[in-house]
Amino acid sequence: MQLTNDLLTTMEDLALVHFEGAERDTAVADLEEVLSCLEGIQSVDTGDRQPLIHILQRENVFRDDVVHEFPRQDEILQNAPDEYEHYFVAPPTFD
Amino acid sequence: MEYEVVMGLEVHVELATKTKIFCSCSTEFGGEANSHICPGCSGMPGALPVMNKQVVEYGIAAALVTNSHINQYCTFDKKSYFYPDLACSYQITQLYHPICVNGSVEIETSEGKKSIGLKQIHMEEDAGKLKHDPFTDNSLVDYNRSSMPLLEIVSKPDFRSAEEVVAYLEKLRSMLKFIGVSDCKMQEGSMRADINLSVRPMGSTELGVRAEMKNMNSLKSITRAIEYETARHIDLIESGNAHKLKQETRRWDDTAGKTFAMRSKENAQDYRYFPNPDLPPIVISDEWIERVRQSLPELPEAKLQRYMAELGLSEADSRLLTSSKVLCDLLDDAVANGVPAKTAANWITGDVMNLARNDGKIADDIIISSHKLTQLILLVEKNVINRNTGKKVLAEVYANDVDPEQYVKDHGLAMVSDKGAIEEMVKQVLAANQKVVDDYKSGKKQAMGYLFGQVMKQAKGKADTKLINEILNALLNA
Amino acid sequence: MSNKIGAALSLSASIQGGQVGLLDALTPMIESIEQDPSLFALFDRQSVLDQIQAVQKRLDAGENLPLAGIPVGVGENICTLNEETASGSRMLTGFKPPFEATAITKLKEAGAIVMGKLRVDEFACDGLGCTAPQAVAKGQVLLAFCTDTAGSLRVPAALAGVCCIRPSYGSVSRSGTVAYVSSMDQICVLGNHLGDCAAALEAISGNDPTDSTSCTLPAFSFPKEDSSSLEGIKVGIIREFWEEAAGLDDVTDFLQAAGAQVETLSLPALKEALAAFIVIGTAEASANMARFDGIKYGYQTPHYENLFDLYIKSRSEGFGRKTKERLALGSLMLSSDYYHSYYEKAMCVRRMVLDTFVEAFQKVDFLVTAVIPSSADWQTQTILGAEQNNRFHHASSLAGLPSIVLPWGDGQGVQIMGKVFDDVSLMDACTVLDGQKRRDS
Repeated sequence: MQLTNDLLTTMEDLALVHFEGAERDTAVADLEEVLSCLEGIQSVDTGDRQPLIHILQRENVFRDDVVHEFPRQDEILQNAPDEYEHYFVAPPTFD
Repeated sequence: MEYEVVMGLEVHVELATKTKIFCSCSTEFGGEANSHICPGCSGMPGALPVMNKQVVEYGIAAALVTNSHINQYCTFDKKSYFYPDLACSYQITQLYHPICVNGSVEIETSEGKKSIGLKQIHMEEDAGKLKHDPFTDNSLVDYNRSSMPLLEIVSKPDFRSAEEVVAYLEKLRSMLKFIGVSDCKMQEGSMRADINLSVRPMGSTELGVRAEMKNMNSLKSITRAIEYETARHIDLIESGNAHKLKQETRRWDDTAGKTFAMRSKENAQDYRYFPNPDLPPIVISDEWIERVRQSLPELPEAKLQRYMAELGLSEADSRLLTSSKVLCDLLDDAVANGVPAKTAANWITGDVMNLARNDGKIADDIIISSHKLTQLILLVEKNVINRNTGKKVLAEVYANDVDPEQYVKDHGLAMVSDKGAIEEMVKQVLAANQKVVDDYKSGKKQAMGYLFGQVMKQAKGKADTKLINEILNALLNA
Repeated sequence: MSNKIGAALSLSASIQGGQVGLLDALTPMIESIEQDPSLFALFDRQSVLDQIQAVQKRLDAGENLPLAGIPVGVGENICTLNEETASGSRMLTGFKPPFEATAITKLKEAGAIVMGKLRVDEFACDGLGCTAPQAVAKGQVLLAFCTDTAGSLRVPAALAGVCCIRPSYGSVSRSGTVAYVSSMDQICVLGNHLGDCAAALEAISGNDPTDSTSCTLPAFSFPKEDSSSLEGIKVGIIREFWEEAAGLDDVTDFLQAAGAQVETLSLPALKEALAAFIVIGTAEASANMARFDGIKYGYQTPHYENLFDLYIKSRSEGFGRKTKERLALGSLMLSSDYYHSYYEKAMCVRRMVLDTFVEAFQKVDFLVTAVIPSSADWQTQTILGAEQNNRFHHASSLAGLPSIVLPWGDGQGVQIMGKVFDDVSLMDACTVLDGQKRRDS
């Protein structure tokens, strides 16, 4: 299967990752190879089987509505590259 | 040409749970930024979601009051898009197997009754909040709201006017508040409505190009947004610019009174929904549904019928009372504690509502202890105080949450109902007003009113009216 | 010596019994690691000494600790409290979780000493850079814990000649492991001896209320007496996952010598598992790793123009090429044009694989496969090449089966798989086979 530049761009836009330079050439070859391998899956005869979503037979896994505040909230923020007055900081989102 | 506007609604209501939908953080409103967060709702790797059972119960309750079909097998999906308020870069929601489908909500407008169809109701998590920092021009991210539980109620395109939309939202709000699922405050964002709107020539069966409107935070702005957007569509059609109508998301700006198209990036998303492997399916048994049904409080419609048929209240009073859960709770408590229904209704629809109106509040926002109100009404009923004093004490209960019995005692407001004491006062008044007594005896019956007033004055307004009348009559006609 | 006790458990017994001091016992390992720390992403001598002191205190107080003093290593994609858990990725540089994986907590409760964090290839996707088996083989730790998604730990374990138990999916909590493929990731135990591994598995398995996919069962309890035979047991060798020429020709002999009935089964449907795994695996990974956005933790690009530029640059610089390819591919598999014909189809194949196993287990009690294909290419740089090295393992992971890899031949290994949650019988059968082999060699 040929991986067109358009398709690669679509994939990059969906996943928000870009391939640059030589890395891009390798990625194209690599993804072409794997996509060709995957194409075959469409013709596998799975009969009338339904998609299998959960291999465990568990259902109704709940917790009670009881508050347990996480005791190390500050350490969550300490991981942020940029923190301001207890907020995480992102570039402007308001246009 | 005449046009018809066709609308469908997506209503989000924030559920009244104590904890978030997939973690045990508090749902408490306000507080410092990122003070109700954990590795789960802040999107750290390694943390896994665990479903809050109460959310399912609220989902079932919402299904029951909207006559929806409950999917007894329902699942969660991941909906992916990148934005800083979405901690995991996916939202956990229900696309393939939502908790309920095919419901209906009956509304009433000036045109009469109408049933609005519901496509589905599903459970999902909310995103965090972004705040613009004007000094650094950055977006500040607060995950306190991240993973708060929501129900999204998706209607069919059954609305034809802003009036219908408002009636529907009021009806939803009233029902969901009645059953305690949500407090449905639009201003605080615990009830949000997105409106899909299109316009077509009257009589046409094809739908026009649809715009999705967001960011209306009151019923008033919803009405304005609908009016604005409808006019915008008609203008474009009439001016031969119908091709300029795009299927897009538009943001309502309340100050400008206009809608604005959102960036195209947000319009052409591929959300890549797929079943969430971290959350096993939910299976809802008939017994579970029945248990929730049994626990539901009486709904407004049923209450209205009962108030009229069993309590003998007027239709006007019954409608006013059932327009708000707060008023119903006040009435039900009073009646349950022995206050005659009509008396209770008079106090609530008259005196209590008056106080609220003067206070600039609607019924839903009234805060008064039903226990204290009942106590107060009973004080009047048992002739401990008269009705006028009662009104004054009610104002104190309303404003300062005083205990009525204690207040009456502390301020010496209890009525004089000692027959001997009143007889003594009457005798004094009669002796001091011989002329009036003579007038009365010569046939001027209205003189009685003056004498009554004098006795009451002497009793500082606290005497039992019935007793005064009895004694006056007896002595004058002796 | 009983089959049930290896070097780890006997060391633990001497420590618990007071014959040897905890610090003395662990000093050789500490020195070895300090001499050559290359297998470790994180080693902190002080943290080890603190743990030793804490365990010694509990022993002195008379506590009975099942893993007392056993030096263990954990994969660097498993969260340890406030210690870097970079998962082999620049994207998670400096990420210090304010919480600890449930498995780690249970290990520490059982008295194990976590010596440090062992390297994985980025997010432990394909196992090509996973050092945990080598650390066990080298004796720097006596047990190790790392995730296997579809062969990513089983293959390197066989290569290094150590035992690897991958229990049924759900039997060890995933809480606190950096997710790659949620529906298949599973923490496994590595050791030189099955009995040691079994004891460790008893300590970390069982329900965890913070992982909704963890099993409802209590922790495993494996029989303490040795079984001596496989009398009456039927074993099926999967023809499609077998390698005659790879030093495995005597597996049948050993099985039969232990009393098992051996037959070869052809299960061609399992060959579809590779493609299904790639589709489902990359799809789940694309969602799991979407949260790495450069804002909350980990790597952030130093130069960017706007929000989406920050996302793209941080992720493009933070992830390695193969990971980016997996994320791009997985996103495509879930996109509206591909969802039905690829993702949903792969889920149907997944059911077919499960059905195939269920049917096979009606004929036999255990299934046996090779671990490493003879065509394996350890120099491969492609994502398909890496999966082809792991191609005997996608099917069992898709179905959540328990499997045990035993060292066999020269860096070959043999894999025995059982029915879901039949881990105890599987362990029993493997102990017999392991014992048989040890007696003979």
